[in-house]
Amino acid sequence: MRRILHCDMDCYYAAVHMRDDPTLGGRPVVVGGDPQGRGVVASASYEARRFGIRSAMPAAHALRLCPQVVFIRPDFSRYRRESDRIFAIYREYTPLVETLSLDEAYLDVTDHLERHGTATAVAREIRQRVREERRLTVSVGVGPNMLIAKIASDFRKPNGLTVVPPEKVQAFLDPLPVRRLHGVGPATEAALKELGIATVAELRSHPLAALLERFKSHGRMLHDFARGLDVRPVAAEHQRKSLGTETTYPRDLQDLGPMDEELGRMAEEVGDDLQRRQLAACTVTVKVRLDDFTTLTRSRTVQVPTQRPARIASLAHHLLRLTPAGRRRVRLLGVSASTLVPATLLQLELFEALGEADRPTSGEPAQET
Amino acid sequence: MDLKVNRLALLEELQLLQGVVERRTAIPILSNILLRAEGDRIELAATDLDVTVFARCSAVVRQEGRTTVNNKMFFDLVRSLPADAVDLSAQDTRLSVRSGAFTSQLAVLDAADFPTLPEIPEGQGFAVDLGVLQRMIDHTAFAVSVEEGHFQYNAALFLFAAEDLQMVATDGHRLAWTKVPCTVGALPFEQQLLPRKVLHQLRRLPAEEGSTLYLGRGENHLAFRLADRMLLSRVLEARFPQYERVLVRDNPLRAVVNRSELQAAVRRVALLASERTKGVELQFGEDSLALTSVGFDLGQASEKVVCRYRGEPVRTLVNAGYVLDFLNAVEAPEVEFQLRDADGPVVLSPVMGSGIADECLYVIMPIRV
Repeated sequence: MRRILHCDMDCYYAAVHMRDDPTLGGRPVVVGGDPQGRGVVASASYEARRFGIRSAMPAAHALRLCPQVVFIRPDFSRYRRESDRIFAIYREYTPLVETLSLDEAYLDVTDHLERHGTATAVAREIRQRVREERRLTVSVGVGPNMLIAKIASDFRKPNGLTVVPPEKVQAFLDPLPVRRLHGVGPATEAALKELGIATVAELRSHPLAALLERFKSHGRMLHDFARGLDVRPVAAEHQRKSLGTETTYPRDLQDLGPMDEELGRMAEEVGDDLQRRQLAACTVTVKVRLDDFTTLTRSRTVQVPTQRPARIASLAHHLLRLTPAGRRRVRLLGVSASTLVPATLLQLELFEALGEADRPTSGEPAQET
Repeated sequence: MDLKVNRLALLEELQLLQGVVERRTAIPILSNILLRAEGDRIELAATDLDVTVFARCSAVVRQEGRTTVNNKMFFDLVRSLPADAVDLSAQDTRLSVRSGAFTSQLAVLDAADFPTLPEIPEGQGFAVDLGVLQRMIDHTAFAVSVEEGHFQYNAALFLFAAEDLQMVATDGHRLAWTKVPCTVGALPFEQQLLPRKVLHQLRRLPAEEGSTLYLGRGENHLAFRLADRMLLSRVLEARFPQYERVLVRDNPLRAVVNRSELQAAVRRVALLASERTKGVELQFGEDSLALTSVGFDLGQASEKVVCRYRGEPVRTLVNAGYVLDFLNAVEAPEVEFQLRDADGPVVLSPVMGSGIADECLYVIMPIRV
């Protein structure tokens, strides 16, 4: 049986700023885009969340909910430096660390329990060290697989530790809404609701054949996840095939302007992630989900592998224009990097120092392809 | 439309259209070319909405009219027709093509649906020797980025001054620049961006001794006219990078190498360089240049080339493809490397014989380990 930890920093970006600037203590803080423009909330402190402010919400909306909120523009290089230190702590406990983003990681400690005896003890020590050494809080979930560990880390957020032993998995999952399962988004949730399924227990009582018929191969995953079964391995760095980020918007995006802004933000995240892992991407992919849930991806392979946010952003902006986005409303955007190669050899840029390499260009209007 | 035309004359003009028509396009009629019979000639036009080419040849017109046919089909057909004369006549939905004992009926699309072609700017324009312009393109166009959506790198910059013409191209990693003395009268404009397609199109124009190309600028288009042939290019708004600042002319370490010997050696050594970065180390010592491939698990190759060098030993790592592009583009028997240190740009220049006033400079950013 495996012992997996999911470590999730508590409102990470906001927390880093609040730690470094004591004047922010106790105030509602939002890290994100320009509230006067079309920026989006990237992270909100718990004080801000009390006003109903959530991640991915338009910044202008957040400002209306809480006029006294402190807006801070994101500083990804700072979060990355901080993440390096936090993940270094994780790696002291196991080499099997899969980082999902700057603030989230899975740890497989199954074969690394000699020193601490139990996964729970490892989780306690990690939480204590992050608190003392980094003055930040991390919520940790412990379970027999990634599915359970992830749900568990969210169970007592913020600053919580939830351990789900194998024999308690079913009792833990059953009362939860299906939405909490990995892979169940708003669309699947709505489809399940039509079948009269709202909780995991209800999903579990649904036969596999019926799920396969309604959800195709996705149905098998729903069937397994409802039983707490998840065989996905924790993939350490060298196994990474791709990395990326995506956001579903509470309100559909309509214009290319804010979409470009969002892609720029994601490109920055992906680029930072690549740099932190010392990887470069040969392929950049943009994912677009339209208002009718049609999901499209567009990819380009570049001649010189890149890890630069500006280059990723300019490709993403171009790829977006190969989709109907702009003429159609968009509910989800994503940027990912794949065919990852070690960035041990890095082609230098001619115009880097001038700060104009890949200046975002508005480009051409969207074209049907 | 009903006419008779000489097959080879028609073929020569059709050849000029081939680079313009897109094979795959969302708008079917853009795969077609426009044929128009008028007076004593047949006119041909092709467009991709950015670049438009007009050509014409003499014909015996029995009935004026116009139609559009699939470019590739028509070109392949004319290329393989058996006799010297070709009869074309359009009826409703078909174009009949007859030559010798061969007859065929081609499907057509209504000429009224063909995109409105740009107006040809008035006036004769500014005269440039076509051979000179083609030489400038040969020395720079290879550095234009082939990646779509890389707007400011998808075109070469063409500059006019009182006593010279200059052309610059870059893909952000290397830059090619050339200057040719040319005394002209009034300048039509100071600078223009020429997209890659236009550069290729100009390159395939037949340059007989002393052919003159006329350049003009309309409201939205640049016009290039060679006798009866006309190329129109939509004016690009993208901003070309600040190339002057990376055009390094004062690198102190200089080494002169035989061009064809270096070319052969780089080709051989690069066979064992890694596919993505094509890294080859250049190590300059007293009167020798050592090339070594960087290919990791592929293995390794190295070769020494004689050169004239008296400076301190210096080594740098560059993309072999970038070096070869330049060596293939210039004709001089010898080329000069101009370096400062391992991390700075590598500058290459052909050693021009006496009496040649052209200048060429090529800047490559190195690869950092």
